Amino acid sequence: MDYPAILLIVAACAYVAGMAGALLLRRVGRLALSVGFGLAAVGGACGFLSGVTSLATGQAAARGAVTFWSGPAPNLRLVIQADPLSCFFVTIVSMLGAAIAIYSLGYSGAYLGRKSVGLLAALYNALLLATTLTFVAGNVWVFLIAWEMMALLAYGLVTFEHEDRETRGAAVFYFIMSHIDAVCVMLGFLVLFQAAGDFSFDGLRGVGAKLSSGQRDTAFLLFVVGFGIKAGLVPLHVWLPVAHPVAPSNVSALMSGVLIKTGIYGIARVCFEFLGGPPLWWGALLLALGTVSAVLGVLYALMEHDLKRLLAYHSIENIGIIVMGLGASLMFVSTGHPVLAALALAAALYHTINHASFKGLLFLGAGSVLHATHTRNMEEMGGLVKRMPQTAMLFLLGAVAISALPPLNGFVSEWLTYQALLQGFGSTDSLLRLMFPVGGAMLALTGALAAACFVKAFGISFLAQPRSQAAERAREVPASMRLGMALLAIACLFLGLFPTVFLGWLGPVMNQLTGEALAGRLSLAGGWVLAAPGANAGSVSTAAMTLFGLSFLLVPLFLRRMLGRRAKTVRGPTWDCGLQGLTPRMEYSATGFSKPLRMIFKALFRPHREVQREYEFSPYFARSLRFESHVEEVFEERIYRPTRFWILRVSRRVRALQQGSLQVYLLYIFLTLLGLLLWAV
Amino acid sequence: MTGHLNVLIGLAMGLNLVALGSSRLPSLIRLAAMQGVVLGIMPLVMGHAPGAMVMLVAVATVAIKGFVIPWLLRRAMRAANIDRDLFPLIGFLQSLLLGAAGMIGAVVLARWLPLLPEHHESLLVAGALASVFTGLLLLIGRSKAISQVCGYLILENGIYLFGLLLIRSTPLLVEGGILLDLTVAVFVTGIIVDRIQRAFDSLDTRKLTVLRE
Repeated sequence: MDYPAILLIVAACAYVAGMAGALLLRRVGRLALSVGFGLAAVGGACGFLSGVTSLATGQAAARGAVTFWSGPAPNLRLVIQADPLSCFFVTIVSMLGAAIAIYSLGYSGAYLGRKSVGLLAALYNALLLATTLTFVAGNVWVFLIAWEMMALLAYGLVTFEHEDRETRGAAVFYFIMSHIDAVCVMLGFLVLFQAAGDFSFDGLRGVGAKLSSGQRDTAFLLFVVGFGIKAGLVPLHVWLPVAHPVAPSNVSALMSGVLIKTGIYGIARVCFEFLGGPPLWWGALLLALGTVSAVLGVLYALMEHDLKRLLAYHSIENIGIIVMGLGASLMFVSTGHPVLAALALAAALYHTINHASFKGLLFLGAGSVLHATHTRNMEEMGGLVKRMPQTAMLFLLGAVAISALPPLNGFVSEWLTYQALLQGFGSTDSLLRLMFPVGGAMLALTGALAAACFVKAFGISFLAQPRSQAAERAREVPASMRLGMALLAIACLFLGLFPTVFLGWLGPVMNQLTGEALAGRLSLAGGWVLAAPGANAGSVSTAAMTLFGLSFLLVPLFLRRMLGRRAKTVRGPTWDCGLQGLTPRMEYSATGFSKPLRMIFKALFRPHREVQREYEFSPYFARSLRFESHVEEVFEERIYRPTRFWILRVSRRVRALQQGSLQVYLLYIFLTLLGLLLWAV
Repeated sequence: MTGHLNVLIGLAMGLNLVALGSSRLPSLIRLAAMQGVVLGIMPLVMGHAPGAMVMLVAVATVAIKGFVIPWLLRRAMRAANIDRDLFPLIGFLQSLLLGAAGMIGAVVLARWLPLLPEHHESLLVAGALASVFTGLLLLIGRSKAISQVCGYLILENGIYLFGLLLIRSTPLLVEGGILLDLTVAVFVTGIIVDRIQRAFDSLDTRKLTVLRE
């Protein structure tokens, strides 16, 4: 056994030990917290090392599947495998798991004496274990068991603060949606099993060729719905902005960073490896879903003033961008362009790890703000940059990364996605090629709107004067929380500055899925410049950009040193338009900031507002004013609510069968038996 | 030999109708007991020299169905000190008509079923179906817990008749299974009778509807 594999086993053992330790010590909260999250951090670090070394040394590609329990029947065995795709996702979950565990050492202290921290730590370890297991599953059994465990444990964590009615509702909603998704995934695998006669992933590879086209399409759609719910693709996303915000912030970070990526893993595994040889419309469907998710996700995020809900909507946006890459890649596979397919896939996978790092960072930042101010409402924050400067800087770094601004990692992966999309137009003669430029334009729009959204999120939350007593009293969070965030910030920085190194490590994954590793085709000038393969493709260097930007910073500093010796610094008050002092009530509000966009997209938002004014002489001198405004959530109102009402109505009808009378139940039995007898005759 | 057996089955089917028409609990229990005795005799007249095992089955059936269970039921009836009228949910006349229709249906159905040629002229299957039907009708149409036990008894008698088709190959298995079922059913019902009596001061199962959600 190679040494990354041993590390992976150590990681699993650390999770199990963390789970058991936290549960055993749950009476001593402080100790349970340190043991549970400490071991989770150790496990995460081991898993991260294992994943990275497997990928960087290429050991993952050579490794086979390991059967660790052959059950009573030939198809009932449990198989584990760590091929490049698995290793890549294990890297993501371990990296984020370790950073969040360190953060949780400080964050979960707030629960001490109030809730069972031991339980939180145990569930956290178990969730990390289940997620890792999902990624290294070598057959359908292990995958489905881990998949269900993951859903159940995440439910347990979402409902951790169950005293709150909102939390319970959100958790149940999440529970129902994850069951629908599990059913779809199971049915999909059964369709595949019919043709393959084997549940192992090795046996399922390329099984698509044995299916009729109708079966293949059915399986594809089942998997898209199943994995799409998990990933939060529009219109299957409705659970995500409800469930992610109510969980404890460290859990939200893990859910947004990793759990929704299991859907991406599933789509990549099934569509590329199992179904194989896709018709063009599969990729087009994914590209369309991704585009819609990206644009709608960011638009709804703009309308939010709950910081965690805003981030949850951004997860939908980023999942959309990832799925755009996957869809484009599938389209290139079906039109026979392996290099472009590998490029689009690299963009999608790179965005997956990037989103995990910056969204983890942002959710942890939001958690720190929540920790300090006890509110998620941005309208009650403000001025936090003075009170918690380090958190503010780390949050800003995450915001720059998610807005796809150079030189951070979000820029790199979105730039790669553009390159793939822009070259797509010439890849086929089908009319569907129009989707590539449209998708590219939408991606540009998404990036711009995301930047606007984070100007709002950072500006309203951290800048200006505090809008509430809570914000005024905010203090910087404990060191462990800042360390957890800093680790993810460093990841964002490195992934952004040295993309050619990390993309090189992704080679085996792309080789596994598309048969093209792009080895050396992505880097120029010794790895300092990132280049997309293709005739009119572009190239970019984030490292050079950074140096260039820094030099602009150096020149004025230098000039000031040389020429400005006699100049003196004068501090004055902020210009207040001649009024008597500025108060927080004069500040720009989150609602006001997003108003222009609300008006532009009013066909989508259907904004509704209500103003009640009481005045004596003139409407301009109101005695009291009540203002209410909200936007319609189209999918909830137009699709989910009618469906729910319909189900409830049918259920009420069916309930008439429950009479409570023994005789009537016997009559049902009798009629059933009679029916069966006559049917048999 | 089939002649004797058919006479007995006819008798049992007649008892079914009488049970459907009877309006008092003691007579219902007596009818179920009589049917049990008739059924107990059947293995002895099924031709061939009855072996020791078949004799044992017959004696056990007569003893348990004819005497032990009716005795238990009478004791329960006396202990619960209940009203002896039956309060039918389906009227006696309607029950009789339904029972007669069920009997005709059973005979017709028995001709349709793919049976072994040696069972064709016997009424065994028809009698079995008719008894099951009668039992279910009693279960659905009577409201007292003890009358429902009688319904179960008659239903079980129907299953026993089916079992007789197999008695030559696996006598003990069939009969043992049935008697075990029956004893458990009577036990459980005895406990339920006790509980219903304590909770509702009555044995009318219609009152259980208040338990529904």
